[in-house]
Amino acid sequence: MSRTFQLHLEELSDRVVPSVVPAEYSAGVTIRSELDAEFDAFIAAGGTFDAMHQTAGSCDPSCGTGSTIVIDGVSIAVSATVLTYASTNAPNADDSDEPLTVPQLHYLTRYLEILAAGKPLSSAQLAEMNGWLHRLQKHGFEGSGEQQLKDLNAMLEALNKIVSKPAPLVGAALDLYTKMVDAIISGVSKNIKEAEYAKFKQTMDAKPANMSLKDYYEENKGGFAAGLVDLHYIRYQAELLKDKLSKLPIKK
Amino acid sequence: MNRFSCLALALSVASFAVTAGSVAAPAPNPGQPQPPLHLLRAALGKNHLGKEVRAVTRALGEYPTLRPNRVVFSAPADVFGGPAWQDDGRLDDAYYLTWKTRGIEMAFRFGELAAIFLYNEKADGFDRYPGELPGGLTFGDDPTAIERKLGQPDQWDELSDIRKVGGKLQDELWMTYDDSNGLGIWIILRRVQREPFTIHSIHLSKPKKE
Repeated sequence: MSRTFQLHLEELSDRVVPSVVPAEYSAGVTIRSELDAEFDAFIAAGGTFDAMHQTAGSCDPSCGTGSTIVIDGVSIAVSATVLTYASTNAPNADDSDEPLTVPQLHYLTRYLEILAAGKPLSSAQLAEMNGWLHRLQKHGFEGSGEQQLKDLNAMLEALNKIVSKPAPLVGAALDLYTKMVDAIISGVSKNIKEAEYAKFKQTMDAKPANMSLKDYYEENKGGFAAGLVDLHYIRYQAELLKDKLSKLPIKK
Repeated sequence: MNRFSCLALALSVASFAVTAGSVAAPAPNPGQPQPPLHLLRAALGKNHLGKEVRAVTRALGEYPTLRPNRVVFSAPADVFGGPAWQDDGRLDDAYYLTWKTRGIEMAFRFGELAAIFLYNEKADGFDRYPGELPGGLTFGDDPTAIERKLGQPDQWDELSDIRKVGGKLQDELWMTYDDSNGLGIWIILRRVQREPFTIHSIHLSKPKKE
């Protein structure tokens, strides 16, 4: 029995505390929390609870419901969590139909780095991050200047740092990182021609094993259009990363 | 009982609550409308059912909104310096408890309080947090006043034109203190049209370990 559920058993009071159920609750969401099993075990063992309330998600930052039990009148315990992850909601709708800007690309990476440092983002920051990912995927990014390339590369480096470690990834986190890589590929692909990229990929796939990707790229980039070859290179790296992500062991 | 029947049970109880009618949340404790700073500090890193966290929620006196989100923290253990999952196989369940009218939000990981977010007026739809802020800060402080009170930040990040709000471009400034009197403090300031920066929110966490 986990520590959390042990506390549930120890601290559930016998008083009835009515609770409020938001009207927007809707069915059809996905149950994903392991706490459900703990709750099942509690009921199966003859346990009872006095009041539970559901909070419905508004897709900010995720859709879903949480089940909570009231203790001491005001404290609540999470007993089950139901959620589907969404990436469609941004708090600032002003630029929601526009390509991602240079500072936003930079910030996307900063948010990723904060998560990578084990620090939480606020729910609004997380919603914004998901909104930016959605926009990157749907509308690409502004222009194709050197700064954008630098920022996309920084994002790739941050993602590479995470997935190059041997520890298995948690499934939900893997979804997020895969989404980021997909967004980079989509964003870059809006500005390049597939036939051109196919030639580039063929060249890069021929890289000798004893040569670094970067050195090989520098040696061969002269054979491609100067304005686009950097974008080709970013897409190529992102596709390698996507392939790496698909082969990682996942802890479900 | 499987988890689906568990949900059905939860919903049936919830339906009962609807039938019975909505009941207002308990009133805040008289004389203690906001949790004092020392309670917030004591609650960081503690279990959501522990007495320290309950002291904070009791002082707030309202039911929060629960926002589940597992992927907030999930990451490989050796990269992020902490377990991405428990030894018993339980995944990293993360969620927020949000009190918009009280200007406060808490982020939990594995049921433990990982961070507290205190908001200024209208920041992301929150009301201003009226309680005590760390280091004598006030929401009216500009970067100079913050430095005067907390010293030079460990990290200073500024980005221009990060977002558009009401048609106006907005800049953002982060001032990060790894350990300010036993608290990790991350202050986010915003401005539009190059006006002076004002505090948007203050994020509290355990101090960063070297």
